[in-house]
Amino acid sequence: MFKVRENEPEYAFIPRVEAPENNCYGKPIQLVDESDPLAGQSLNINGDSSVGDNPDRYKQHGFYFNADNCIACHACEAACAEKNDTPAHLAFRSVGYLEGGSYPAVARLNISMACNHCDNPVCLKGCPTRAYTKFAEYGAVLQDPDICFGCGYCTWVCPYNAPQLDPEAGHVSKCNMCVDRLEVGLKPACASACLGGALDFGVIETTPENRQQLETAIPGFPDTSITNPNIRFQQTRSLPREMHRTDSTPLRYVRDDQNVKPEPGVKGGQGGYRSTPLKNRNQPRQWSLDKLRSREDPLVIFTLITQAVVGAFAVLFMGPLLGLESLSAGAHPIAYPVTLFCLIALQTFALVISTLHLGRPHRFYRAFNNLRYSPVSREVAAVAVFYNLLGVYAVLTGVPQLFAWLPDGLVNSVREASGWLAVIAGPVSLYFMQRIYRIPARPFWNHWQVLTSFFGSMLTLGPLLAALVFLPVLAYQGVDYASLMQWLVVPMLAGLLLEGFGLWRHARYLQTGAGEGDAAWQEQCTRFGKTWITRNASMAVSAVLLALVAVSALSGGTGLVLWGLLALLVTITALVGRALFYVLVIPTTMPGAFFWKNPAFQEHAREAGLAGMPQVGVQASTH
Amino acid sequence: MKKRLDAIDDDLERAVFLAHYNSSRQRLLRFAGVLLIVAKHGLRGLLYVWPLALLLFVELPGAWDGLRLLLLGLAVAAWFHFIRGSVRDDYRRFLSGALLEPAALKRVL
Repeated sequence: MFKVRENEPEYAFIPRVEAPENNCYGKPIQLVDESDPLAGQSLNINGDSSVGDNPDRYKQHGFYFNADNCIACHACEAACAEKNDTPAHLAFRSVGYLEGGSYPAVARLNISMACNHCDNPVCLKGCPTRAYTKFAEYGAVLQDPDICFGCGYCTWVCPYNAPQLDPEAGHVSKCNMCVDRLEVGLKPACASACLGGALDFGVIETTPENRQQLETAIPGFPDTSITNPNIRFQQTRSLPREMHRTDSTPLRYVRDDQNVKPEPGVKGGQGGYRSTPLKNRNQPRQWSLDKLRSREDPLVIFTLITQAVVGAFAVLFMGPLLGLESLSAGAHPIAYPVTLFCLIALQTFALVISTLHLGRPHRFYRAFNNLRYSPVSREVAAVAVFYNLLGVYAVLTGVPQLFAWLPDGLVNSVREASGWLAVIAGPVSLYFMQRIYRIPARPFWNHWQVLTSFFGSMLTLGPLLAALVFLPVLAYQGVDYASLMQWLVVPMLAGLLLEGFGLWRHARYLQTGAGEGDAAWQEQCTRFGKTWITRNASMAVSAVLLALVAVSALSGGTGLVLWGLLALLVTITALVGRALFYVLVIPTTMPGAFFWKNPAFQEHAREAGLAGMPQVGVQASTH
Repeated sequence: MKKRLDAIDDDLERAVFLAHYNSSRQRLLRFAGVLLIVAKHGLRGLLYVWPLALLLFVELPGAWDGLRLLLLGLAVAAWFHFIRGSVRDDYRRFLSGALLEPAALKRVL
């Protein structure tokens, strides 16, 4: 049990006050009754099996932040770092800034933020390994770094940037509410260390001493409806109409008293500021090709290859059924099964690549642990099902001699069934794949365009992949392949049109939606403007050329060269488009500071060599 | 649960521990543990390479056979990728620096 110092000051202890029955979201504050089987259990902190004597042990606790009093001394950060022994590049609690006004009437809003131990912890639901648990004790959302395999999905879904991915350790860790201190009645280290009386802690919905407001939001704070966070704010100082972030994120917060209404039943109401992009419409369009690379590069490869393999298998399986005899196993007794095995090899490669995105790739198998809630688990499971069905079909088609001991009828039935099931499982896995990106905290992704983009790539790249094998084979055999290509162009054109339609609707959604989405749209039009326009133009040109080459029914060597060039164009377009998809997203994170959690400073530090010094606190860009 | 080597500060206790740890019985138990870990992660890795692994049992005519061997090589590389870190991780977690009992071996599975 945590040892309480003899001279521990009174303010370090959690005050005993009456709490209402429900919190402002309508959830009970008493999480379990005394008679509940969950009650009376030890938290087993560091192997200690004793049970704390805090009388409010089963009540939801939360932080109280008084922005009027915060002087950005960072004592809370320091106390947290010392308590949790975090390395310099990691902080469970951070102080960020918003600035506004003009001299001499300038104002700065400092916000100290850690995990809000939400009522609806999206990190817990998103985690594929089930590393997260919401405890009945204090309502703490705790994460076990030993279970985590470092996919970082919780860092995507959390709107407050609370889970911290450590690229060096290869796992995520986060604020643990200092539950060991709570067990003996002490406030968390950060709240105890606060000099200005800005940060406090207690049972939720109990107004701390010397405070009036219990607001659920503050300027710069994301939409509370995403997770129902357990933090309450006070901010009575009047602020300028417009506040800017200091962390280089192209966002500002504008007072919007008309549209942002106070939530009913919430004491103090909403913050009344909405996020909106910086006014940078006059910025020149750039290529920024070097900035297309990101930590998500393995996912660019994985998603595109999976979509291509799903589409290619559908073409190979359905093509002969639809009358394309030149794609059948009968016409190509060797090339057909070998193509199937090549698809499996490609998918294996994609799966291996996808594990490189993990902090601990060798723990990939833990991705199946949270099928009930996590879209990542569902995607991995669905891709595995598709892969194995494809494997069964390929093995029974390509190496039937291994199963000569089984009745012919049975082998054929299983082969047909596995083929049909794989044709269904493929698109289902792509559906689950796009669900991963439907994240409210990432407005750029949170649109059905992800679905059209993924299915569009399946339709475009799948037939392209099949053609890549069968065109040279047919040309070698001296068979005219023009009719095959005319057939394959139909799904390819449909894919390009589907993706184009999605992009058009997505652009409209971004300009009218949340500030982060609009800011991403501005980035798309400026920082990556030339790249984005070229990608779009390339999609249109590809569609026109595909139609023209198909109509002209070119074959022979000239046809092969032209189809090859077109395939290259379509592939590069898809690669650039998917890379843009990952780098353009602007999450609804809490504001950072001038140096800490400032992407522009991190970039500068890496260029200047400062990042090599651990005390600068810049994370490694890769793990 | 018995103490692990890294939790022992006392020199004498450490020496006694190491004498046990380096005994032939403990080495045999660790070896058995390694085999179990390799089998566990090997089977997991096989989930993603088994169709390619079956290419070991067939032969294709001419140049196609070269492609078959290439795919087989890829399967082995992918399988190795899947098990390499896992075996090391589990060895450190369950076997290294600990005195084992035969019954404790089932913990590695």
